[in-house]
Amino acid sequence: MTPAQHTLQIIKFRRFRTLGTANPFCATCGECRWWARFELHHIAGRKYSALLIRLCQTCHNWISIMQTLLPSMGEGEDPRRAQLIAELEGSALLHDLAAAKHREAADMLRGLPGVLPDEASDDGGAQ
Amino acid sequence: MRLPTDRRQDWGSEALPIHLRCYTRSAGAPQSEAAPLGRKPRAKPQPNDMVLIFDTETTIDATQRLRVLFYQLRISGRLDEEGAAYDPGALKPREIAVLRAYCVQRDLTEPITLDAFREEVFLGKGYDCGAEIVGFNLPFDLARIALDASVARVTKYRRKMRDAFTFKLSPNSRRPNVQVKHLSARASVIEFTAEYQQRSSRPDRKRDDYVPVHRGHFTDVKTLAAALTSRSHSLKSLTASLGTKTKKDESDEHGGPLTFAYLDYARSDVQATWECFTALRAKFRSYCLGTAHWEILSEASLGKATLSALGVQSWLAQNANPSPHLLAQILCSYFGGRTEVRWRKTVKEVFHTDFTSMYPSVCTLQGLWRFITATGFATHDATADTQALLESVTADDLQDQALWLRLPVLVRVRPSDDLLPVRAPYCREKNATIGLNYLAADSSIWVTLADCIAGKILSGKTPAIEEAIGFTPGPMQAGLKSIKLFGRHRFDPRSDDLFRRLIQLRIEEKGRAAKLIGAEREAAEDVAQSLKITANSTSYGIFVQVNVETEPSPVSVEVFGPDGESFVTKSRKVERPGPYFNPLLATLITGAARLMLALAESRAVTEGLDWVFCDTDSLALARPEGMAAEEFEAAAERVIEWFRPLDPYDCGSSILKAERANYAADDGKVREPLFCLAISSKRYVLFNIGSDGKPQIRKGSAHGLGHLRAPYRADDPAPGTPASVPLGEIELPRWQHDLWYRLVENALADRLNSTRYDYHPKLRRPALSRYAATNPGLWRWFATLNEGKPYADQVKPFGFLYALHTGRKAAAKSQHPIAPFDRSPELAVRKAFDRVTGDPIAAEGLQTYAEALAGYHMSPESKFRGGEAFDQGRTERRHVQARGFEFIGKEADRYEEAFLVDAGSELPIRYGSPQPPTADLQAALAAASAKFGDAAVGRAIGLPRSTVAKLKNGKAQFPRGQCPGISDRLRAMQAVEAEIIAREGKVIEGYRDAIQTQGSLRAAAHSLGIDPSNLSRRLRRLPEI
Repeated sequence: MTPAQHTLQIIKFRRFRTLGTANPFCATCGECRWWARFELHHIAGRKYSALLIRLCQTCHNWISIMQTLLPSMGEGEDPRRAQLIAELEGSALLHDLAAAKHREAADMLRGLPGVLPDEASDDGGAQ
Repeated sequence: MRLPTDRRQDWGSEALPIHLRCYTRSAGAPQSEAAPLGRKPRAKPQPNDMVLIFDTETTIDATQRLRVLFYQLRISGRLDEEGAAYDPGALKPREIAVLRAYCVQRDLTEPITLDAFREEVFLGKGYDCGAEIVGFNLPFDLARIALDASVARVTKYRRKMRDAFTFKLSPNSRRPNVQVKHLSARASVIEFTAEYQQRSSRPDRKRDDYVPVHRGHFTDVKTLAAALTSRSHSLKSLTASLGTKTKKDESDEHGGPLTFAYLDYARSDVQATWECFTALRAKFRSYCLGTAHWEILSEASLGKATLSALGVQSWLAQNANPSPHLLAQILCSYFGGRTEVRWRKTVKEVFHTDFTSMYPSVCTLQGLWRFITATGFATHDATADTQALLESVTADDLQDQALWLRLPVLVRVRPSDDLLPVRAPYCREKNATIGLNYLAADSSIWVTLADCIAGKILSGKTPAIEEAIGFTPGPMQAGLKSIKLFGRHRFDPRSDDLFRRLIQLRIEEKGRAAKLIGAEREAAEDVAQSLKITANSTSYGIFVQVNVETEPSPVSVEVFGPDGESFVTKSRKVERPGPYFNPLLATLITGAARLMLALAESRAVTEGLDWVFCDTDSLALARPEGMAAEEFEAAAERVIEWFRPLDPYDCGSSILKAERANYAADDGKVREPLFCLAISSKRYVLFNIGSDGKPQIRKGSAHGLGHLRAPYRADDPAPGTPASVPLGEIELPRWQHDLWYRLVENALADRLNSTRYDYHPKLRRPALSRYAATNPGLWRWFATLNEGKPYADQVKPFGFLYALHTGRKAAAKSQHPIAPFDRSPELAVRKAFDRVTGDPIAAEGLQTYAEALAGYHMSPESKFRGGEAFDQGRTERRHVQARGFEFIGKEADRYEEAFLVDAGSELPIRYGSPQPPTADLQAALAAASAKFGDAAVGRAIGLPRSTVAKLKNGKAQFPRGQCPGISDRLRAMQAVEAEIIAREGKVIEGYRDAIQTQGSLRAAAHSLGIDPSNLSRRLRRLPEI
């Protein structure tokens, strides 16, 4: 192991410790390269629920923008109803984004006849 | 030699204090080991796909200082780096040059110093890169590579590492250390300490979301092997057992100059360790449990992992505040497995039987899996039903499996000469033992319904019950999961019984193995063994697990008794229940196992047979005088057949089986008469008698022998013993085989009581027990030896030491001899010293093997009449009058340590009894003082003479916690006078017989291990010198 490889292993392990897992992945696009920037997303929004899901930075940015565009709850809304509505809407956004990513992947494969999924991605998805 | 036979008279009752288990908890607020309040637990990271394997070679003197180590760094299983490290202070320059040349020739990396290994490899890769660290007997290796060692600190949030060692790895105080806590001979907890730096980012800290401390991932191959194979292994035996490509070599060059051959040997150890690790890891993965293999510390860990994989939550997790009084009632009824000897020191022909998977079987019969998968249990009054059942039940009724489902009942009885398990210090022994005896008491006790039925079946007397509590399982837990056992067999905990399924699968695998050959057969037998281990590990031990922690100073402990009483006492030892603690299951399991043995005993009597010994799940049926061999075998088969209806596995055979030892050793099919010589509980031997009249040992116990180092090698047997013995089959070391051989020979010649143990010259050498300094207390024994020396030159933690004992010719009786390790035991003995004073002790003052073993054949079976040192023949159950109750805790904490080194720690924790001081105690004290004098009474009860004088006159208060002990000892003093007179008569008769047999007083004294002048004084009933 060269000194550079050693340093890389140290950084990699520190990243695993911070993430709390040795197998991080984005729940919507499947990004699993360990050096990617992962963030925890509040599914229903920070205001309504502490439910978290791990996303890559790109997906998190997109979902957060979409979340701000959702209609706000009424002033006198029951908190439990508000939470449930927010969780459902947040979950729907995740599904929408996942669906969009799947369509992207399908379109990409159509454009590369005879290529298998592993060969199609940048680095084979290796950690 | 025979004793007079007129002793089978009406013995009458004997008054004894009865010891009962109780429930305790800390009197203060319970402290949690969890993270401080408000912190969210974050998942612990898995190790990187890197593995660091290393092994050390040391000097062979007391310091066992590291000389050289080899290591491998593997990434995804592929060897990435292989190298060596050395301690410059332990090697000569020429040896370092040899090591360098070796590494060049073998294409290894340049050897580095130990300091560099610690920083660059162990911490640099093992810690910083999150590699998994693997070794064989890791605590020893970690102690060798450390910079220094100290006692682990205990804080409010981290009590886990009490009595552990901290090994310093770097002069940089910001770098982590390693802590090692010894759990048992096979397992230790090993963790990194927290690094001295901020782990979590500020935003995370603001959210109370902290990165957990990196504790590392340590795998001791020795520990994993013991858990997965249920036996202790050396690296050599493990490589042989697993069939690894690299086998463990032997070397005679330890301590000698470094040579290429020696370095090859050291290097191959690392490769062998790696191969064993991969094989065991694969084996563990076949269990498909989802738990990490580095978390497996014992078979119990396998059991817990299995239950966790099934989604089974422990009873404690769902019942955070159980009723302490209910727990006390349950624990009061708890006793361990029944081990007894009925025919003592008498050769009897036997038919040895054994219950199939006793604990899983009784779990299945009682339907206890429903309790394990329930959210808890409910209680109901079952007094009337239980009384009716007890009145009507017969042994034959218990052939109906449905009746066993009614056994989860606890019964409160006021014993009136009822046959029940009785835990008491028989014959004034220091520790209480458990025997099935007749008990009478003025107060009530709780017992299992199974024990009541067993007592009725054996004695014919039905206990009168005052109350009965029936237990029913609560609703099924919500989170149970269906899994595939071993990746193949679907199991649903909601509808299947785990114990039944595991044993059924095991029977199937064994049947399949019988039809295969070669590697396929071995694989099938391996699976059968794994199934057995899983069944055993989930069916008892984890439910009664209690961890005892020793506090630095006495703490308040609340003790709960079965009758609703409670009191607070002080104790340094605090019991904390294990994660799956469920005493109801534990007591029902052992109670049902005792009922099984009682049924077997009852059937034996019905068939006209007797029995020699029983041991938890086995019973040796004895052939009576005058019974023909064919009749005996037929009767034994009928006893076995009686248990066929109780087969819960639907395999069409009885759960009571004939052991292999009943058949010829070569083919295992032809019946060959088997004989037994039993001394006391767990001390017995089974043997055939050859055509030459000589015994052929088939099976022997190592009880009471295992702590001693072999006095001689297998190739140097005792004169007069067979030259070749299948030691692998009988599973005994050669010297233990020879000891039993000699005892059997003497028993056959009717001279057992005059057995001498100097039949081999090496038995006249000092007796050694090899031990390891596994906790700070033991390591401190070498404080004087280590004083002023750098760590490298000290006797280190986990280093070996020899425990010795004071001999008859010792200058002082109160010596505590130990010796630092030396490869040659003879040289080690020359360095023996007193661990308390530090003074050297001459070898002549040490106890020899012959002296240590002198009383082996006289080991008493004190729980029964006719079980004392010189007694032989049939033992009889005692009639015990309870003389008060004393509450005790866990019975076998640190048994090994206390037994080996007489560390003074009491084996069970004794909490006393709740009776407050009374005027009776004062009167008893005054009476004892009048008879024996204040000084003698003070010595007996552990108080100064002046205090005794004040107490008897009411001028001082009795210390509350000590009242039961004082009361017991006063009663003992009164009783001892009568007992001594009775016992002396028998003992003196035994001495006279020995003199007659040996021909002279001096020879008899040597055979008994007594000084001749003292023997003379004993005969004349004079005080000994």
